[in-house]
Amino acid sequence: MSIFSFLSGKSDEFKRLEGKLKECRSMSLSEEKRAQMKRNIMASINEPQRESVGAFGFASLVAKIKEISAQVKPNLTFRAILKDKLLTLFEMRSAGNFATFGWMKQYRKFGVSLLAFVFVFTIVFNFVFHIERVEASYSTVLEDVQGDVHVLRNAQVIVGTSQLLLKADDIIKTGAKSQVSIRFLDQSVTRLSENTEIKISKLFVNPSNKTETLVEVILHEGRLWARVVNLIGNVSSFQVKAKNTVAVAKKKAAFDVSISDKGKAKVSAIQNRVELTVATNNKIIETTLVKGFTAEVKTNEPLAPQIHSETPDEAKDQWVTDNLEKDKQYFETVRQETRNQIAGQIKFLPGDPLYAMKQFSESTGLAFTLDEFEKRLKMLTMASEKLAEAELLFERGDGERGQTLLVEFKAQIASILEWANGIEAQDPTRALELKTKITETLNVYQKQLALILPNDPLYKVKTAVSELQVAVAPGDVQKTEERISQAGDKLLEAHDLIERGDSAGAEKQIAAYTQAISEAVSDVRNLSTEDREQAVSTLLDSKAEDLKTLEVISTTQPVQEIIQDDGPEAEDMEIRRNRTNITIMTGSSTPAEIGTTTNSTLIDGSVSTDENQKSVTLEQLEKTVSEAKTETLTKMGEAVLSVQTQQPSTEVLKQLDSMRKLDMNGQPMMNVTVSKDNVTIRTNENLINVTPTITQQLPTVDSKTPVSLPVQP
Amino acid sequence: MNEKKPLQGSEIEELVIKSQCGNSEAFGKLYDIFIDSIYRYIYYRVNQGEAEDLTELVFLKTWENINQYKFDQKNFSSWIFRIAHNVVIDFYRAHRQDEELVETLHDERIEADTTNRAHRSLDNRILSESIGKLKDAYRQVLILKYINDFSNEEIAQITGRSQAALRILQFRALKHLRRILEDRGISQDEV
Repeated sequence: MSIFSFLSGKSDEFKRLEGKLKECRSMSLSEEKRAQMKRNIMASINEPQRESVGAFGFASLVAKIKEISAQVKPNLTFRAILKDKLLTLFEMRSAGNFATFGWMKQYRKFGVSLLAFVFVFTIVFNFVFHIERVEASYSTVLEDVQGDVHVLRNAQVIVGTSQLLLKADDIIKTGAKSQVSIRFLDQSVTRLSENTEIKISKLFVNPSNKTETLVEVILHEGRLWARVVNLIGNVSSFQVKAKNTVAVAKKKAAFDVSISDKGKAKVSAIQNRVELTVATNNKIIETTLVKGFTAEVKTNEPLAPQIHSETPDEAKDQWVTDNLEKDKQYFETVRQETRNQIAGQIKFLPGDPLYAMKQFSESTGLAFTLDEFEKRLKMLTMASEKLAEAELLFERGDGERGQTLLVEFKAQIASILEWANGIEAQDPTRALELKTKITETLNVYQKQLALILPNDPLYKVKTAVSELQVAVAPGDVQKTEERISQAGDKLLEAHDLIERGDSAGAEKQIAAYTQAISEAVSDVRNLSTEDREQAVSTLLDSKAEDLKTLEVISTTQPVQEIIQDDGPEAEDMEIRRNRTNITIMTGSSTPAEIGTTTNSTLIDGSVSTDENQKSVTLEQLEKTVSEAKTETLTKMGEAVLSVQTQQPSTEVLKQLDSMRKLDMNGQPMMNVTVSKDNVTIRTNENLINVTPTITQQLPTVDSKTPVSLPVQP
Repeated sequence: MNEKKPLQGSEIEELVIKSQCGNSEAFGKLYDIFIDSIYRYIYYRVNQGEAEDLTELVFLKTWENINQYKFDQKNFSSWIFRIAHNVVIDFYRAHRQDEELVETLHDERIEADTTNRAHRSLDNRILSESIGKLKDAYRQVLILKYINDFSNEEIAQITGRSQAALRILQFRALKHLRRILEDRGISQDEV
């Protein structure tokens, strides 16, 4: 159609189009469609009632939504706790009684906001009140990097930097005039001298009991210093391999290991003792290296180690002196870190205004924990926090509040334990789980407190933990074993006290050890035959260790330390000395901790000078140690005899054999003869004969003449 | 809904007045009345893990501001839900990035699995997930209207929208929800 024909109106096609458009004027919706559209529009603009919803097929959906959502309700415990807390806050505000926030009355709005913040803090972020247990970091890192230090890992060389995380199989190498420290996951520390190479061959933490650790280092070349701080349990050990020699520390020790250019391995025990194993051409030699002794092993010509005591000149090795000094600093660092960790994690202590809020938060949380087992777990966490708080209070000199918390801690643990014992018959799994958790908690504290000595305010916390460890032990045998083990720890404490110059304190600990051993042996006698054999086996093993520790104590000289040490312990000793002098001059009764010392001085009738004091103390200490040795040997004999009437178990026989093989500094420690009704133990200093009715100590063998004792086949 | 009944009466007003005068028992009753519905509102608007914390915050703010509530403005239930609404908005603002992440991580393969679709019926998990897929405006209206059982007038007070707009939103929200459910294999019959 052209524009011309369109404008002229003469086209037929135009007429048809015009007609069609006119038809549209009369076009309309059917009645049905119109009604449907109306319903749609009305449903959208009117409130959709159930009927209209139903008209669109939503009725069942809405009903289902209502039905399902009605089931959604807050947890009953949460609901109740929140209400309780809200009402407490409400009452505090309503009463206008912000007892601890008196100044807020003037700034009510600000006060309310602040309290609201506190509320959020206490409720929403409730976890803030609950500290994490202070534990070792369970990582091994480089520290104090000086000079050229490299780590070889998976064929890659990494430049050694401070805090570099180390892994098992890492090789660490120092260059000329370089040094580095390695802090291990068990809190032990090793320092590498220049031109030294080591491999960390084992780094193990028992996942189910993190206080059990195993570290092994292989010295390829050079020299290393090892300070083992506080290993816990029978499994834990720190060992250094050097060629065909292995030095093992099981609790506390400091030792030096080196490999000379000529291939000679040298191990020196600097503090306490190390267990030494040397593989020679035809046998394995095992001995205990006591402080002050050195073993040298020719690695290219494997023979028995040459063991000798260090001469004073040799002992003045600068490397040793420096490391002993660094160890002191390290102890202080560890202590400070622990202190900071506790202080950083405990927000509130008794006496703080918000401590009551914390207690409230805990008690309500506990009250609404319906599961009894979960409740006990919460109680254990709370008890653990109490102990940490007690530690902090003792540290800050608030012994009174600390003691109160300690009593509460003991009571809570006792209560949990009672509950666990109560359900043991019905639910042994849960009872065991709970007891294991208690033990783990206590072990962590034991490790943390291992450096604490009796003159420390925290020693009360340590004692409380020890008491509970005995209480938690599952059976009579285990309880006895725990007591025996703790008795051994007293000897280690005595050793540390002597090193700090506190001979009197050491003497007390040794006496406490002797008493604890007597009690333990009495306990053993009361056990059933089967249990007794197991306990005797532990006792013999433990006593052998104790004898070694007593030997170390015998060689430890405390006197010089008193004068050299400028620390608080030195001051304590100075005060003690002064007090002793005064006591002697007035003739009044003696302070308990130095009673025996002063008595001896009075008997001698001499004027007490510092020098006399030291010598007398040393004499007394030697006497006490000697008595402890005799007692230990006697108790060993009694223990052996207590199972001798029966057919001894293989375990006991093995222990007896081990006793006979006990070796210290390359010399046999004792000879044991066992018959049906007689046990004879002979050492360099003692000859003990134990019969069923009497225990007889025969005349002492001259200790200056070491006897070579035939080992009982 | 049990807690809905007193909303219309003078009982709540009486409890609010007593609470403003320092009556803790009255405040406790208000708490009992509203705890379930506030929790439910938050439960379907944010993820379940946050519901308790945000519910606590709502009641904390209620406790803090109850003396500022005035009877001539809106009813108390609208007022407290307005607080809940604001708490949720604040939460969204603070966690926008996380929300996006959660949506991204949603595994669509499960939805496309016809075997799964064949055996599905509507339960709380599917409902809350499906509601979570709605646009926030739809979600909010749907929850207030059909889960918290509010009138449009009350919802208007809580959300600040006109009632006419709310009606359209409700209708569209239901339509979208039904479509989402169908996509997940929940047919009208299975509902």
